[in-house]
Amino acid sequence: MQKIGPEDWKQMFELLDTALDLPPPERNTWIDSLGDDYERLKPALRELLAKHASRDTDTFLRDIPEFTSLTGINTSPLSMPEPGNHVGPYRLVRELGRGGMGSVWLAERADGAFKRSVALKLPHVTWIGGLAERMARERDILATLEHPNIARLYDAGVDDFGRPFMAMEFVAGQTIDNYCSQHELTVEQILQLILQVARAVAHAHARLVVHRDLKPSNILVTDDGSVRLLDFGVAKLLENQPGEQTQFAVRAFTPEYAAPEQIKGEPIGTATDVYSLGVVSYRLLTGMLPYEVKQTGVGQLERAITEVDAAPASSIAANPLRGRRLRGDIDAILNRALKKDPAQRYATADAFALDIEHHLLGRPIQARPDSAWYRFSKFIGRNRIATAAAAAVLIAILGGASIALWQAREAREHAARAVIERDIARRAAAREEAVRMYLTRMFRSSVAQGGSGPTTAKAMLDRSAQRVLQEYRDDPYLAGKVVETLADLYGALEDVAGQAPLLEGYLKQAGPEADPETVALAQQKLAHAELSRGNIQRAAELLRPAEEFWNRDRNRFAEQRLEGLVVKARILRAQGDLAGSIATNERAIAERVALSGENHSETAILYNSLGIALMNANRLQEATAAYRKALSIHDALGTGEDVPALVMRANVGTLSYRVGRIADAERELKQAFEAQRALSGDSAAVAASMGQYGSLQTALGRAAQAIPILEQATLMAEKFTARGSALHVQNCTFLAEALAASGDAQRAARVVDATLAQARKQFGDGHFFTHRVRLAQAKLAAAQKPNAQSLAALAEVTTKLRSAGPVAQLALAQALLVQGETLTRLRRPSEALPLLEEAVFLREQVMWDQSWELAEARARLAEAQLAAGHAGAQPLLQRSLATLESQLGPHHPQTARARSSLDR
Amino acid sequence: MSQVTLLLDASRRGDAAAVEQLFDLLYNDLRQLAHARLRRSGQFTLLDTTALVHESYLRLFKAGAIEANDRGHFMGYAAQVMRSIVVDFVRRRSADRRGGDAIHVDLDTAAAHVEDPREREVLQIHEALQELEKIDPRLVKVVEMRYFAGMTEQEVADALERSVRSVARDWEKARLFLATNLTP
Repeated sequence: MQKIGPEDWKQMFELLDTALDLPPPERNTWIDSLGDDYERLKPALRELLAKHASRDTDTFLRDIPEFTSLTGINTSPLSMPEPGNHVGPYRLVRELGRGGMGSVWLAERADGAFKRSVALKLPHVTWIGGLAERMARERDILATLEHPNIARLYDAGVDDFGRPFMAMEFVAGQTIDNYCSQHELTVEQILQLILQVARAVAHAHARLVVHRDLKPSNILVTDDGSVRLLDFGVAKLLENQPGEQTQFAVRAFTPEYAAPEQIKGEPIGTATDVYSLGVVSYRLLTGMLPYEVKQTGVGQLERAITEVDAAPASSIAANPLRGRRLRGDIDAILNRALKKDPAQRYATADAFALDIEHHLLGRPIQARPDSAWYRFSKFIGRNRIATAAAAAVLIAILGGASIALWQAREAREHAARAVIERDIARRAAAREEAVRMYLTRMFRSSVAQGGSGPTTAKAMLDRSAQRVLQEYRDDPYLAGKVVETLADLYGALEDVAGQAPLLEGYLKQAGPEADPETVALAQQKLAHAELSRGNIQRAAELLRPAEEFWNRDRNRFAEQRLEGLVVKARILRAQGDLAGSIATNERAIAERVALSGENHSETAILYNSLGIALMNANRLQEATAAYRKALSIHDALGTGEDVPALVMRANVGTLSYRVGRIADAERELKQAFEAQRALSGDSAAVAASMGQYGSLQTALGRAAQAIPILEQATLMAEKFTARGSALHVQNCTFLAEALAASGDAQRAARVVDATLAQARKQFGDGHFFTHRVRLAQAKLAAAQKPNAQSLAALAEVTTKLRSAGPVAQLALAQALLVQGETLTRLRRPSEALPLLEEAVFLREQVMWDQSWELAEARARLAEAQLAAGHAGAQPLLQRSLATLESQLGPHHPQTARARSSLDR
Repeated sequence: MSQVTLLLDASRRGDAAAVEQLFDLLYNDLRQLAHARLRRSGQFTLLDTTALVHESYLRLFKAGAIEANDRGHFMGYAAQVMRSIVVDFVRRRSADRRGGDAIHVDLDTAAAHVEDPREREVLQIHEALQELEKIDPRLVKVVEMRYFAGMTEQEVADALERSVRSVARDWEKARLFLATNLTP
């Protein structure tokens, strides 16, 4: 039967409702009468009805199979976890804590692949209506939360028994309230800690993740005074059960730190976290909760939270000195955060953090009533000396009337300017507010709709993206702003499929009155999306006008222009203009360093991009240097063990392999793919490094070990990219080479033939990838049957590779080498000589001096020279033999072959 | 109000913590019942899910933990828990057969590793139900009650407060979906 997708099934069920009501003989006529819209579903519908009518489904599913043993239930995995138990790849060490939802364990990897302690969260119930599925989805969102103050999620999954687990960063520290009281911190020090917490929460808010359970026990402080927020999203995940979307679970949170809307079961949002931040801050600064908690029970507390306004923190502080310190700004900030009505609070943790920061810097805060006196007193406070001096000058010159007139005029102009500025500020604020309101509204409505599954940032985004252009048809300016924000959110989720249609729709709708900056930004983002989807030409067309716009005011658009350069470098690389791509990357690096310094994550991305371009251009030593630069930045930023850095380490290993530093390559590749696997499981990146590692094993003369590794790498590449993808083709080629080296020429030929067919289909006959597979095929044929026919095939590949430019340099060298070698075997050494000389030359260009491949080429050249009767071949062969022996060992086939040539 | 009735009430209102407690309670109860049954009848016994679910209800009812008019809702949750127990059980057995150690197995492919065709069917149904959940969660409820808890159409209709006719229709649709999505 044809494949029916989920959407089709919905329609199919509706059709079945009608069809099953009809008497069987009338069903066919009814199907025929259905409109063209259903044409596609008709055959499947007929088949389903036939299936229904036949007897074979009658017993289907009638009974659950009978099991004759209950061993599984007897030793159910649900029995309490114990130290030494295994959960997925982890071994439990000791329980760290236990709550209503589950327990948290200190655990370490059981397979020893990666030495790291983790905090492992285990829910009590194995799964509830797809909990595991939801955990996986949640993991994807949590993976976007990367912040120094948020305990990181390393791994999540489901073990053999269906138990979901989450492995988090293990934080050695104490809870923030204990830390504050033990260290007797000053108000400033406490505020600095709160600022760290708020920034971490703000990071999550920017990604539409709401913590919902902020309390001191979820906030740890390490010995060096840095904050780690725990359980981010886990609380949300565990509470996100069916039917829960419209009402918050009362028992799930700690009432002391809960917001009124949580108590009342009303929709929650980012402002809910702001409230909890307010309570935590209040507690840390005064030692008390904002409400008097009598021992009369939860009901009282709940009423206090929803009804009673908190007393100013300054009036509660035990010590009058601290009370005075809290009066003013801190009272105002806490008061705003603790408003009963979410709409009156700071909208996000970011706004809360900003006010604390302003207070610490002595600037005016948002929460204060905006009185002129307040701003003035802040100004005086900040510029005490300068103001005093100005006042002194003012008094000194206040003698003349002309001064008074000048002052009056100045004041009028000032007033006029202030009006304009106020208008601009007001418009800007209105805009920000509108965007915020829109997103909040969408977020709430998607939370309220619920029903068909949990609300994720993705679902909310999709719904917003569908509506935004319609809703803001009359306000192109605002539409642009909202689209920008949504596109950024898609970017954070790396969801190109969602992002592209949104931007496409905006650009289609944008008329002459649209904001040109937003249009340029949308073009640029869309260019990036199109590039990711492989539409290189379209990407280049989109980027051009954006680039022109940024160039109109380079200073103002420095940031946007730089982003554009990154996209441009990638487009050039994809178009094959490697020199252009390298130059663009280098320019971007210089500008980025000038703008934000060397140790910046964007700089690392640029160095990585430069490394890839250099690698493709076969400028391997420089490429290694670029990668190492990127890695040192990652190390400096503390992200050296994250997946992007590990991918770079694998690339460094691949490069070491290509330049012939095989010992380095073996170590680097092995470490990189094992660490990656430990951190995030199998992936395309792991398949790539495993492929390189397997190929290296073949080169080292260990074909038997290489084969299983390459078989695995091939399957993984197929699973995570596609059959016939560049990676899949590459790993298949490696596998064929390993098989040939192991003596299984037949299977090698089968693999290589199938791979060539795939490559031709996927990339076309003239593509470099296809040529590379063709080379492997020709090599195999020449080794089997060194004759005129295989020579002709090699010559043909050589011609093709020659026209493919610098990217094919190493493949060309190999083609020439095999051709020369075959000619020597066929006793035509004088024809072999120029080919082998060129092969040596090409390898010399790229590889380091002690490369075994370079020595291999020299040995083949020397052999040809010997066969042709040239003098002076002996020393060359001797030198090559020494290199092969030191690099590959005395027993490697390559070494043995060179030695026997020398002995002859 | 009695304990389970309280939890059922809160669960209906969408209280996630209550749902969780209810599952916890039911899971342990049903597991203990199965355990006791095994001891009584020796090594070989049948996992009679229908009897287990009914027995669990009766026990709680006699203990005064649940009120009579909550029987329907209780059965709905019990069926879901039964699904969980059966799936855990099958996974556990197949893991034991493979040596019982913890290999990272992707949930989607778990069914492929189970050799016993009857047990494989259980896992395939479980996995197909996860797909169906996205299309029409109502059908999943019906399958859980009919298949995993062995309830009659009448019982399902009572539990879901729907007509027997509409339950029967959902059951037919779900069976067609599952028959199509199960690889023999």
